[in-house]
Amino acid sequence: MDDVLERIILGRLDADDKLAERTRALVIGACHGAEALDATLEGEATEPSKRAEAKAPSARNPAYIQSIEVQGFRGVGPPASLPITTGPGLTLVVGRNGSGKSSFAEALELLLTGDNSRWSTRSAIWKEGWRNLHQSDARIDAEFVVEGAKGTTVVSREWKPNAKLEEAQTVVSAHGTKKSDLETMGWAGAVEMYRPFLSYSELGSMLDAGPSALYDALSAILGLEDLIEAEARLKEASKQRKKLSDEAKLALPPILERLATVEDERARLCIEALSAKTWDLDAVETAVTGTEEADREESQLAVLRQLALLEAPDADEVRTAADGLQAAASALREMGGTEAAKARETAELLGAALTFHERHGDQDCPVCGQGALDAEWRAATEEEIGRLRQLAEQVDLVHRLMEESMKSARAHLLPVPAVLSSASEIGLEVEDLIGAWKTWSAGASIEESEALAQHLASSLPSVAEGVEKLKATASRELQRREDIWRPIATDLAGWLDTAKRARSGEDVLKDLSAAEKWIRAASNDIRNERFAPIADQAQGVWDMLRMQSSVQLKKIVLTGAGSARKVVLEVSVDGMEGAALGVMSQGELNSLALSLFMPRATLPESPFRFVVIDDPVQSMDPARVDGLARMLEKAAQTRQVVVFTHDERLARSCRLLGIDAKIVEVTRRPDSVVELRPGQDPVSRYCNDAWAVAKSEDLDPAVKARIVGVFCRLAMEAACTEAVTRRRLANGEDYESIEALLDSAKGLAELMALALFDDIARTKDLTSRLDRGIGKWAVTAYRRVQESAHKPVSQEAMLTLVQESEKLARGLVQLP
Amino acid sequence: MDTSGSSDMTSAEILERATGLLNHPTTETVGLWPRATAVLARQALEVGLHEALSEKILGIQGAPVRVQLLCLQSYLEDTETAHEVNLAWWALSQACHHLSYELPPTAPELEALIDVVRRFVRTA
Repeated sequence: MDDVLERIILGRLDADDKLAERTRALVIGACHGAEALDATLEGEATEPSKRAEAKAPSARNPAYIQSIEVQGFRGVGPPASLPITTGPGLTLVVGRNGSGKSSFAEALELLLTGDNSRWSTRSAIWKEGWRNLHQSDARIDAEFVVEGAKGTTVVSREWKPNAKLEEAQTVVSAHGTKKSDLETMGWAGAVEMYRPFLSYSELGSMLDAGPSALYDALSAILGLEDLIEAEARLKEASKQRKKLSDEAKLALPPILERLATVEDERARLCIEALSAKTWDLDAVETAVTGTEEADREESQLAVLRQLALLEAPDADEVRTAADGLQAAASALREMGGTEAAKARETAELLGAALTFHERHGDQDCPVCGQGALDAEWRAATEEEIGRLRQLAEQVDLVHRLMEESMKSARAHLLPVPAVLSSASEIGLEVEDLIGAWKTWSAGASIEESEALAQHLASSLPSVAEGVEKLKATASRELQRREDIWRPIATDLAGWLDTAKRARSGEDVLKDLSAAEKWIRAASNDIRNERFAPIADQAQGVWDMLRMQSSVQLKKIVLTGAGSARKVVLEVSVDGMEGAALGVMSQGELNSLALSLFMPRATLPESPFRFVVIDDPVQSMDPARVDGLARMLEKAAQTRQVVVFTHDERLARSCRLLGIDAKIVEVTRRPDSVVELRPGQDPVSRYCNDAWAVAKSEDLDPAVKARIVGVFCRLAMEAACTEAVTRRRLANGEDYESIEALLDSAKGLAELMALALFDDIARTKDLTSRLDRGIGKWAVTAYRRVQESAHKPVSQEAMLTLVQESEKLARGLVQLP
Repeated sequence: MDTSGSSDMTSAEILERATGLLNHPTTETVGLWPRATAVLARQALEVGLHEALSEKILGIQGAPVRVQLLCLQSYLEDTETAHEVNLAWWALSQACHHLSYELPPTAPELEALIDVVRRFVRTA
């Protein structure tokens, strides 16, 4: 976005405190381009603009025309060059329709337009018939003086014989540089935007083309494309999101239909989640991704998954436990219950004897009476007690081992797993397994170790077998369900992706349309702010052009958006307000179009320092031609204004109003020989033509004799016409009545009567008046030119006649 | 007063010179050839009128061209040609007078007018 516009937008955003943060971010993102907008929509912060200082837009290579040379193009056969005074000023190119003058304007436009984008709108006849029939070589050269560049810059286009209009290269040769293409001038787009070519037919069609076209043509110069693009980006973003939303909605019914055919609880769950007004996309996602944690406890899938993972008590561990039991039992048996107890009791008895001996000293054994309790006995007994105690400890160990073994064996005797009862609920055959398992767990009540070991060994196989069978069944069932579900889940996952993006899109839609609305409102405001000075200028131009028209242009506003955009032209007719187009004549409409487009063509931003206007005088009444002349004079103060015109009305207005205008006359001979010469006021023109004939060395003397007098007479007629017109205009008479009076005059005599006496009837008094007022020679000259139309002028009298005729004509034109 | 002898030229000779002016560009005639051609063509027409009528009506050469054209209408059996000649004379006369903003005729217009005069001169 250009700096100026960006600063304006940021300023407006700052001033708008009602704007939601995201809307604001979207506006900025959209202004920074499609990528930035996408980033904003993704939730990334857009970087604040780094460009700070704004530069005023400046025109590239501002240029004046110096000449246009055309060959073999349109109405021009052999090369013909139209010179135009470089710099601001008014040039009138005058020639009849068909004289080839418009070919110069078209040639210039073709050169600057470069490619054929604009020509594509031309008619097929134009595109086929652009070549001149009398000249096979076609080329156009326009010489420009570019501000700040040395010398002249020539833009050329040359066609090979038989090449089509678009089959040629436009080449730029600037002073002292290599040849390059038109791009180097940096004028691309400017021709369209500023259109320094205003043709009568185009002006008419501008107003007929419809309000949107007129709007576009006028708003293109305002430099709001970036803003319009930003608005379009937001619109597109909304559109895409709506489209995604529609896609998700549209794709749902077949998916729901498919889900309904599947006997899977996930399908039911999804149908439920998607039938609600707001889709429960999380629920669907869970169903699709199928994570176990998310399975509800009561779900069949959960049961099946648990069953698939069900384990019977580990056979190896159970066997180890049973072996442990057996080992403990046999150890216990080996030690013998009695011997172990006897050892402990004997140790206690001997211990008591040792205590007795300690207290009472050596003596005979009080128990058996045969042995003696002495030191020897004591030593032996102490040893015996140690042996007996060790034996008793071993017995204790075996007892503890037995306890441990019983405990670990019982640990395997778990109750029937709860999931088995759930399994029967979902229709799996588990009765046998439950029975087996109940038997298994019932072993917990067995006290006898070997019996328990026996139970472990005998009851396990039916449990293990049952579990294996059930696991297999559950796994198969799981797989079956999965096989049906997976493809649906895959499709559902695809849909889910769309739906999730649609959902996040929907969230932002409101902000997007708010941003779009904001930008549109901003564009409108900025547009009319920028358009205001142009509208003022247009009103100024109109005020010059309208002259006696009662239509006053009150207001020009660009309004509306999209297909409803239009240019509102408010006018008042004799003080009554109304819309413009309905109340205006064709001539007024053309003036209006010129008023609207003249400011555009002369904007300072335009690189073209020239404006080419083709035939603006058609259907203009004489007063409006005066207005046109004044408007052109004003424009010509700062611009090179080139006007192509098919008659001398504009030249006359300029002459009578004292407006400085260079005139170029264009005539076309047979075979498309186009000739140009500088124009002059009519009296000088005819006098110079008369001199040219009189002095000619090429012309047949007989021809000279027959035509020279007519040019002399034309000079006098023009002088009289000029004198009468000036005098009567000064008296406040209007063009129409003066023209009518002059038209009613028959020949030089009546014109001169009007000039000399202001009385068309006093032709009889002419010679005496000329004789008295001017001299004898004037009477002679007058008489000779009067005869000259029918009688050839002698070679000897020719120069004198021309000399005296000029003198008389110059005198007549000075008449008060 | 006519010392150049050019007054003796026939209508066809004058017309030939009109065509010459039109078709042969010279730097001396740039811009002035349309009126010059018209002047010659008109003179050819007027000489042609004289040629056609002088034997039929005594003293006709002194009459104004308008009168001669009226006479042509009654003496020429081909009234259509008479009408055409009348119009051509009027159009050529326009080019021989200064009108406040009209430009002289174009080459195709002149060619058409010369054509009318040529046909008339041949048949007369």
